[in-house]
Amino acid sequence: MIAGKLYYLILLLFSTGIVSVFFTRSNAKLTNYTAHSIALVGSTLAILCASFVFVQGQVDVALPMALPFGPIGGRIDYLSAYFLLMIGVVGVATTIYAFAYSQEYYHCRLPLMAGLYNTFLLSMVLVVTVSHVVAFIMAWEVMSVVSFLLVNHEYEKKSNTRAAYIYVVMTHLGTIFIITAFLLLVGGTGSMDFSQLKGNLVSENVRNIIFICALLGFGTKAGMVPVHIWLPRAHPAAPSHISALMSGVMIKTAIYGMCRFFLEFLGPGPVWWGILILVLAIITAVIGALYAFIEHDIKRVLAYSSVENIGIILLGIGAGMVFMSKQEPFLAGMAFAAALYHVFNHAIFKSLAFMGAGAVLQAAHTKDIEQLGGLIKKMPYTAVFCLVSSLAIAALPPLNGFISEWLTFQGLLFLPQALAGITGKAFSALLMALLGLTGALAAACFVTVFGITFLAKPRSKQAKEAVEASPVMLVAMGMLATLCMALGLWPGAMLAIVSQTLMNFPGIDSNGLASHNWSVVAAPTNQSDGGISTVVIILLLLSGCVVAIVLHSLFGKEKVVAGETWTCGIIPNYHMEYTATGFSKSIRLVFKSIVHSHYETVVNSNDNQYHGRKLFYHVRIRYLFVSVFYNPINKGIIRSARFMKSIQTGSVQMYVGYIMVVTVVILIWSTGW
Amino acid sequence: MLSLIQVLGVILLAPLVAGIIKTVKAMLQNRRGPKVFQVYFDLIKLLAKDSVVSPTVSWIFKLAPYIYFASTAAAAALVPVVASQSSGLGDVFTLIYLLALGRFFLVLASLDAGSAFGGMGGAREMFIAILVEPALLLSMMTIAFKAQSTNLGLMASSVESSSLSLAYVFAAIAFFIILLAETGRIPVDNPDTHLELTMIHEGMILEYSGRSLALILWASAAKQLIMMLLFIVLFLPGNIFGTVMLSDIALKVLLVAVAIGIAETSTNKLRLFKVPSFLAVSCILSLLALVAQ
Amino acid sequence: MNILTILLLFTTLLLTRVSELKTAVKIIAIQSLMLAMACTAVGLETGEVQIYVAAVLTVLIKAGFLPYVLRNIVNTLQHEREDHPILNISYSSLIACIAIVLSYGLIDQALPGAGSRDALATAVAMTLIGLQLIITRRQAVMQIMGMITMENGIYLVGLSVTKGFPLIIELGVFFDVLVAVMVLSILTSRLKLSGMSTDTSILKKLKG
Repeated sequence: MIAGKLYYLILLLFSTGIVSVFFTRSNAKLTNYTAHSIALVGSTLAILCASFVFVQGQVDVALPMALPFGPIGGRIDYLSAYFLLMIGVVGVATTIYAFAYSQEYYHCRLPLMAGLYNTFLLSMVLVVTVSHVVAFIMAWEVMSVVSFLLVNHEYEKKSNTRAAYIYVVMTHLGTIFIITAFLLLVGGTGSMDFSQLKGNLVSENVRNIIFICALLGFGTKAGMVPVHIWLPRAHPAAPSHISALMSGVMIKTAIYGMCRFFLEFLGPGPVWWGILILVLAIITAVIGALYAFIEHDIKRVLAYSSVENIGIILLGIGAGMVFMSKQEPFLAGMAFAAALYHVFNHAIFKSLAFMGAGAVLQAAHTKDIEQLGGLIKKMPYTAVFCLVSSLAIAALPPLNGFISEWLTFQGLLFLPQALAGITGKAFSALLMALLGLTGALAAACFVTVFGITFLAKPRSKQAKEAVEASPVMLVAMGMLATLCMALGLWPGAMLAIVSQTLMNFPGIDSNGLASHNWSVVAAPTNQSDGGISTVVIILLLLSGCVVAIVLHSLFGKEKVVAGETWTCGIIPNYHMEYTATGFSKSIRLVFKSIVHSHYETVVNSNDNQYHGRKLFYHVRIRYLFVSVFYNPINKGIIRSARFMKSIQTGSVQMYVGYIMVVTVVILIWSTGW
Repeated sequence: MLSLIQVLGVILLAPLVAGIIKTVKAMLQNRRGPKVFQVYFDLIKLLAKDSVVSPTVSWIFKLAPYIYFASTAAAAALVPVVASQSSGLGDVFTLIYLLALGRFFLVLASLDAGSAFGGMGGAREMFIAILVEPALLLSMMTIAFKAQSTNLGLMASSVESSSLSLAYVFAAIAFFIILLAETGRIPVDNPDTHLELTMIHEGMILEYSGRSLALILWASAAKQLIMMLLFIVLFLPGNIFGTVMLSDIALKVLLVAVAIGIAETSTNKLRLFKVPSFLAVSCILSLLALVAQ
Repeated sequence: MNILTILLLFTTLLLTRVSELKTAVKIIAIQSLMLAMACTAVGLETGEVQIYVAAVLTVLIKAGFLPYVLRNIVNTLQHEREDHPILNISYSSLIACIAIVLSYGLIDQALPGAGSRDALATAVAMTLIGLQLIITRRQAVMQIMGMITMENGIYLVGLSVTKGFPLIIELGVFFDVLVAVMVLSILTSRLKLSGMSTDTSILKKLKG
């Protein structure tokens, strides 16, 4: 099959990319072009391969590697193809972006970064396509380690090293859980091939343990609360195109793992599985959105926003699992479709947002939005693309975020059909209200970020001297922005792909989703009405625009006079503009119990008390999970270590004494006295 | 086609409703207020004026009034004024998010001019929006669960066919509180003053003048009428006044306008950080309504 | 053989009661000599050449070379003696007696009715007493004594159980002991050279 041959070609190309770096490592520019061109071709082939799988059917490939655990096979079924498609699309855009962005790194170990980049893409492709337990774990480990090395690329800064350290510790904690889950499953079924692992062959308790381990393990990589603390530190530390790949694609491979486990290996389970995921998901979403609004480092904002979106994806998965356990296949199909649609959407608009942040970082050399401003005049195209991504993340029509968020709402709306009684209704209503809250917080957050970064006057010299990003980066951003708009206007095509992806899993029926009209998203309920039509929305918006233009020109052409912004008569300068900290203060106050912000105002006077005072205003917030969950664990570990230290006396006699005691005990015990 | 006529109707009649509310407030406050059609005169005056634009702004400032107007007009088409006219594509979420789209751009425009008033107004507007969103969704869900759909037409027909109950009254009061918050009425915001510190919506649009200002004011009035119509369709169903459908709706609008006027006159504006507790009352009432159903 | 076993035990008990380092070295030499005689006795019984060789090696190394090296060290140490052991001498002897009783009990429990009961019990007792010496003495040289006692005990087990280890193992064991003692003597001389005493409890200052 063509798809199989394309798959081998992809693996070969990425490997060539890795090897080529060794040969070109003396010339950074050549490395940039060769390694990234090879990666570009590889990503394009990934898109093609996935498309062929969707058209022609699933493919089994055999990898030319033998391990002591048996032959390693790959299997590209529809779920793998969906994620492969996503990797390909984001990979293409990121690689084009990397051509221009890597120029900043010519003196900073570029060949290493380019080689690791190819390895990263290769490992992600392998993770979503292999079908052997050991191969999966190996590919997962390679992906984690390579991303750790990439996060730590600029190790001169101490904060980057610390972020990479936390990342590698957390991701290995997650890997332990994943390995446990796999081993329990393998032990129960006796085979290491994915197609043989069926959850109904193990006992009930073991299934529950496998579920918890899989949830925690993959949740660590995805950024689920409470194991998300590495995400807001690692993503800002990596170079921007790597952050785009990590945030857009890598955390979605964890969702792939979860889908494999819950849909294929374990199948429908007890209801509390879905409810647990729903509770964790909504906490993730609210915490992510809240902290995104409060931060003012662009990349940290985007990282917390990724946490929030993972929460939304998990809401879809949780609702789907509840429906699966209560035997509602249509509703389960819709909920999982919402989750998968949001996976793709988020990959696109989050990568676009990180690329924009990278362009801003390259132009103004600072990530702090309180130092930026007025960039829309210096970087007009970047501003447009960032506006598109902000609108998409805020889930506003007519872009793609709205459609997947609508589907998630619908999934939650029908929860009372599965969870009967008042508790079901109250739970569902609470989930929807909190999801609305996160949507509003996300919109507010991106209004802040876009408004303060791009609009009004520049707040620092660096922002004043910013220049537009290079055309190659603009092309990459433009591709993703167009895709955002296209996915918002043509949901039918995407829904067809998603419904084909979910076709073969037990307990799900996704046939009702793909309707005949390319622009309609319908909820598969009994009524024939219900749904949204993007054509109607666009037409309405356009007609509203027409009316507005008519009204505007009712009395002839307008004459515009320039007049400075009103600032009570003083000449306006950038000090009078609003700040991001001020923008979010009201929310910090409302959510005081979570955020615990401490304010300090330091007045720095010089001799003259009437003139020249400087006021420094510090805000410190508390990171909820770090202070409530992780700091106590750390303190406990250190305390028990100190307690254990007393055994280590430093005296030779004591040590030999330990040996003697053990010897005597063993002697007595072994003779059975 | 019918939707377009509905849009035009909403747009044309919105200033009249705004004028009615002002007249009601004047009557209650024992003063001689503006004429009922005064808002029309104001808008026409503004449409003929030239505008003063700050050089700090960018194309977002110029684009925002159009988008605000367009999104409000699009939302107007989705309200099922006549319940049988459920075109099947008027969804609650579409409506809410279209209004959010308009608000997004208006807040961006308020930050664009680089003044502290704009930023403050925009920040407060987003603050209120964050708090209103869950409350709004909760009160909508009381009806949506009953109707098993979020399509507005279906929700309206299910409301028509159900009977009056305590839960329903709770939900109606909850939505009325949200109506006051979304349209920027006392006790959440004061729509009449133009003092920078007491207003939220007015602070956002301080830099606008001339035709753009006319568009924004018109769109705000239209949004107010949309929320009132939503309240009527969902919570005052049926043929109360026993006349032809459209005039029945007109009378209901009048009734709601009077109710808003009374509500505005009888309380004072809350401090900004007391607004969360006010909206929490609405949330609790919606939850009670959900549970009591 | 039995007489030799009893004498070995006697020397070990004596070792726990000395506090002069020179005396301790002499006792160790006597102990090793008796061990060599026991080895020779076993060799006379079985008639294998390698046991004779092992006996000769024991005499040379354990009864000749090691005590010579240790006496040199003790001479350079001049006035060192075991002044404050961690456990004083009476208690040390008491524990040695308990160890002997314990070892007899263990051997009876584990291998009831064994022919070489005395030898085995003595061996286990010697090991335990050697360990106890290391624990309760501060002086590095005394700890070396304890280690040699332990080694002798294990050698005795080998002799009595298997009627002689193969020569390779014996050579290996010899070499191991040799190296250990060399290391300890170097340590002791360095400690002396740097002006500090050879009291090992000062090593506690190295704790992290």
